[in-house]
Amino acid sequence: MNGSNGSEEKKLVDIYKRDTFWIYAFLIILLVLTVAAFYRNSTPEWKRYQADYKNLLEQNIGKDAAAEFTPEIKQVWLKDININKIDRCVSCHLGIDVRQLTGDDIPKVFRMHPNNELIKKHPIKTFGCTPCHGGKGYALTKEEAHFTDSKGWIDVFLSKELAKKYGFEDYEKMPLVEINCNSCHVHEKEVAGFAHINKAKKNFDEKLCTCCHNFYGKGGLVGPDLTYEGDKPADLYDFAGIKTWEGLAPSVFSWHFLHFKHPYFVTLNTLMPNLNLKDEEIRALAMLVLSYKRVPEQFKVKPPAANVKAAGE
Amino acid sequence: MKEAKNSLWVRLTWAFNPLTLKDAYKARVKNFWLHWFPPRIMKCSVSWSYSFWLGTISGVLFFITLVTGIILMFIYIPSVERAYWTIEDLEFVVSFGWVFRYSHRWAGHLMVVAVFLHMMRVFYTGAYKETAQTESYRYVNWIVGVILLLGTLFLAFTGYLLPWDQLAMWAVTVASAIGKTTPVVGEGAYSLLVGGTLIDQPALIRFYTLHCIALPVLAITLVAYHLWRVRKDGGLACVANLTQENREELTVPAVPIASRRFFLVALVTWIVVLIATLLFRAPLLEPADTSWTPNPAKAPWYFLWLQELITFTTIRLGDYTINGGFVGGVFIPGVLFLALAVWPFIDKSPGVATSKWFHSSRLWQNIIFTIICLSVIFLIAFSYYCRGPYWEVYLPWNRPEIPGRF
Repeated sequence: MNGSNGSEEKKLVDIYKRDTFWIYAFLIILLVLTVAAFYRNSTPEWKRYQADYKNLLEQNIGKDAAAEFTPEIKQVWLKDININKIDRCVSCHLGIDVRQLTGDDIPKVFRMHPNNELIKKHPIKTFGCTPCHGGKGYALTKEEAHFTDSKGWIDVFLSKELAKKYGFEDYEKMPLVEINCNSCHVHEKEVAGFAHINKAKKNFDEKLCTCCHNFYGKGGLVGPDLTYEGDKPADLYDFAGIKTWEGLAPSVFSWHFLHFKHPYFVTLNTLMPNLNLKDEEIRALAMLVLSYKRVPEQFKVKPPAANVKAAGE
Repeated sequence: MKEAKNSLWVRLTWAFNPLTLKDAYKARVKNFWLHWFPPRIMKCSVSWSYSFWLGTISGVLFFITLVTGIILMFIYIPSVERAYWTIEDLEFVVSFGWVFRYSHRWAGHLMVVAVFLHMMRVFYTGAYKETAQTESYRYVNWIVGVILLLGTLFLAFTGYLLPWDQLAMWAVTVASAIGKTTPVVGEGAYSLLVGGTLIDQPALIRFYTLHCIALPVLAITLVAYHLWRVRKDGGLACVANLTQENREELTVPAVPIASRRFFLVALVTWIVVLIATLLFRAPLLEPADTSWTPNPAKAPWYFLWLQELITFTTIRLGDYTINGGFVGGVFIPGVLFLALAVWPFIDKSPGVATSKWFHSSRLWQNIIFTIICLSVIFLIAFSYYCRGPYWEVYLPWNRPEIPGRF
């Protein structure tokens, strides 16, 4: 140090001393927020479900089963449908293919799938959940996975509530799921278990829809091609003609419903006739039309030879 | 006394809380992190009410986006097949993925706001003007600042595309279509940026490279120069007469007073970003789909005023339409930014107006500047809240939505 002022240690007059106080105060706030972030990160919903599931296993199946169970994010990679398709539903719906977990005393979230036959033919390990039920397979929160608002996620969860909203009497059975099922079973005339789609297909043939509409390369050219009608996004529909939704929720499904009910009101100058159907039949037809979606060809169930012949004639 | 000095706490905090002037100077020289502070700093530079520390806030936000951005780069894959799904993984599966993604997003948006406010502050205080005594070139820093404002917008814009959802893709489609209307160079620049005629894989990888390498490197370089120039120009333009005599009185040791306040500002900025991260989710719509456009398709919010200007300058005469893309989207903002950059040469107010908030000699330019800034803010808010389907105007709480599938 210089001799002149090295020895005199001039006192630091600190007029901004209060800053120190605020630094400590904000450091505490930062600590609290960091703890909050760590807490949120370490307590995801699925961990709670898996803890409950482990207890359930111990009570219903045995200690060994519970010991074998490892808590982790579980997923089904549906790479044949789409390289990016991943279903993480099984992270919480852990008992979905566990035979022992049936009955009303098992919490719904862990209960085995109610349709045993269906699960045998469509193992969870290859088919996952969202191909039929819709919803966001990537999501790991209850709210996000069961997405029913189609803003932000097109492939919404086809829940009971949604079916109830559209007036299905059998809403408890999640009838809207048939839409997705029929994307693969589109060429079959009748599929066991399709309460609504089977009826709609019958109407489709009886009302001679293919006179005007093209469907898989066959049919008339008067109306729009229906082959991939279900893929059409909401933003491409013309909702301008609908003056009143008649108590239904504004949606593509309602558009189809109203369009079948009174075509002229929905689309001006349309050639589509009024088919004079009951509401129930109309709902089924709306489901059928929405089920016409692109799926990888190998998933489309080939119709029996007799059907092909009949269609070719 | 001597014992207290040697305690661990004092050893750890002596740079932060020096008791003597000697300690304060020593701390600055000895500590790597404090060394870029000057020995002494003007009181007005440290004060809250002169600068609101907006430049520091912008810098800290930039630093937060850099750190979180580098972490995001370990997860994100810039491919049209996988980009969206890596974002979903960040949301749900990656440890602290949501923290980094949301922090990055909110810090980026806040940075646009902070840089804009910083620019407003410098304008209102006339801080781009020379002070009488020091030999300075503050107009250089003003021009660098305008480039950094544009750089911030472009950084935010290139980042907007990366989640590859419908929001990202169509917002970028709208904004890049605006740039396309520039005469002579527009088409070429569009092809260079987008790598084709549509926003697709070539656009994604170009935006990614710009966002992660080219623009940050440019911004870091310019920020470094920006800060160096502040030092060379004698600190913030806030003292008219700094002499050897009043030096003691007008300045304080930069360490600990400025350094501590810098730390405080950084801390508060970080806390604000963290609160936003904890409270608000970053938006993510359905995966990008070139076959349909959301209705309405809006540009990123900081470009919404351009979209609004285009709406106003598009003239329809029967079936004949004069597209406002060039006038509203390129010409008007181009003139505004050019005027902003050269304003130090147009502003002929006297030297006393430097460093004074709203000095009376600068009344008219302040009024014009305020009107332009408020118009931009108003147009953004109007477009964001009042534009509904088919670009119709609605009251914000009455805005209809295009129905979904169910």
